[in-house]
Amino acid sequence: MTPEFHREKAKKITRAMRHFTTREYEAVIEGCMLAGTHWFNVALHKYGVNPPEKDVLHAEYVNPGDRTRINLLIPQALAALDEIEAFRSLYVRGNVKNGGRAARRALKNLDVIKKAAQGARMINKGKGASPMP
Amino acid sequence: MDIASHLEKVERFERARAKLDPITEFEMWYWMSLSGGTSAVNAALHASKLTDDGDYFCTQSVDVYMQGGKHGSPDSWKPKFMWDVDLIHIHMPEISKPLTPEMKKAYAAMQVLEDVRDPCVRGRKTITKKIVRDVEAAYTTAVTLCQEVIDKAGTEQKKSVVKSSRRHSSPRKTTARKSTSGRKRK
Repeated sequence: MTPEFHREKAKKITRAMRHFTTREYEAVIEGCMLAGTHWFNVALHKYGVNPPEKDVLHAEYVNPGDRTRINLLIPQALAALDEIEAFRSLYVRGNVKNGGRAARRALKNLDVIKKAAQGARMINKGKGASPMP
Repeated sequence: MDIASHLEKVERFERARAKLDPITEFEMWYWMSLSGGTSAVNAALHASKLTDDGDYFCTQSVDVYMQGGKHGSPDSWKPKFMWDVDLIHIHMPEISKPLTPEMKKAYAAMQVLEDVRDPCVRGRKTITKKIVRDVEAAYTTAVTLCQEVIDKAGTEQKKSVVKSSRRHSSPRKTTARKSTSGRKRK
């Protein structure tokens, strides 16, 4: 999908999250995962790392070759998305205590990913990265 | 995760879902439906004794579970390969025992939700009232079927405890299923 499409989806999901406080930590963490992944895709398309037809679905599904490239450009955003996904195991699909704290952290991570997307510029003199085999 | 905790998740997802507009906030409304429905399926699979209800929490990597930790200490949970425990989605992973007819129906209802995910949440498909109605109906069917499975298992458990107490002179302590949340398993 295009960066514009992902941006609109991310904004729509973030708007819906206004209904929730961090006491509803499952909804907040899931919303951060959904919106964060869209912003992450905005960044990757804008840098030219992934073409519009190649979207990331979950951080855990990013292959090692792509991870190496992404880590050179937006290591903070990759770490932020990884942490949101990790929260899902313990607090959304599990019943570990202090989900509210994790939700607050997830919101900060979402902001990190959003800022990385907003600052993304095409690499390689506007040509983007070469396709991965 | 134990049945009581899954059912608590269903309630929490339902409360969140009730705050959302199904058309204008479809993505979150749908995601709360999917998450709640999957929690209900997990609870019913445990009640049917098809999967283990221990404290093993799904990661996004299929078959890998966070396990062995303490509930107040997030860093103490470690990943491990496991099978026949909680599902991330229906069929993800498949379980080794055959589904009961009731669970097949619950899976079929959840499949309606699963089929909506990629085109409507990650893709460009326009959200219509019909899609919302279909998701709502399938979600209600799945959760209702799962609750029936859980209730039936609870009744049968009570009956077996009564029978057992009649056979033995000393009565059993309890007939209610206790939450196993927080327990440690190897």
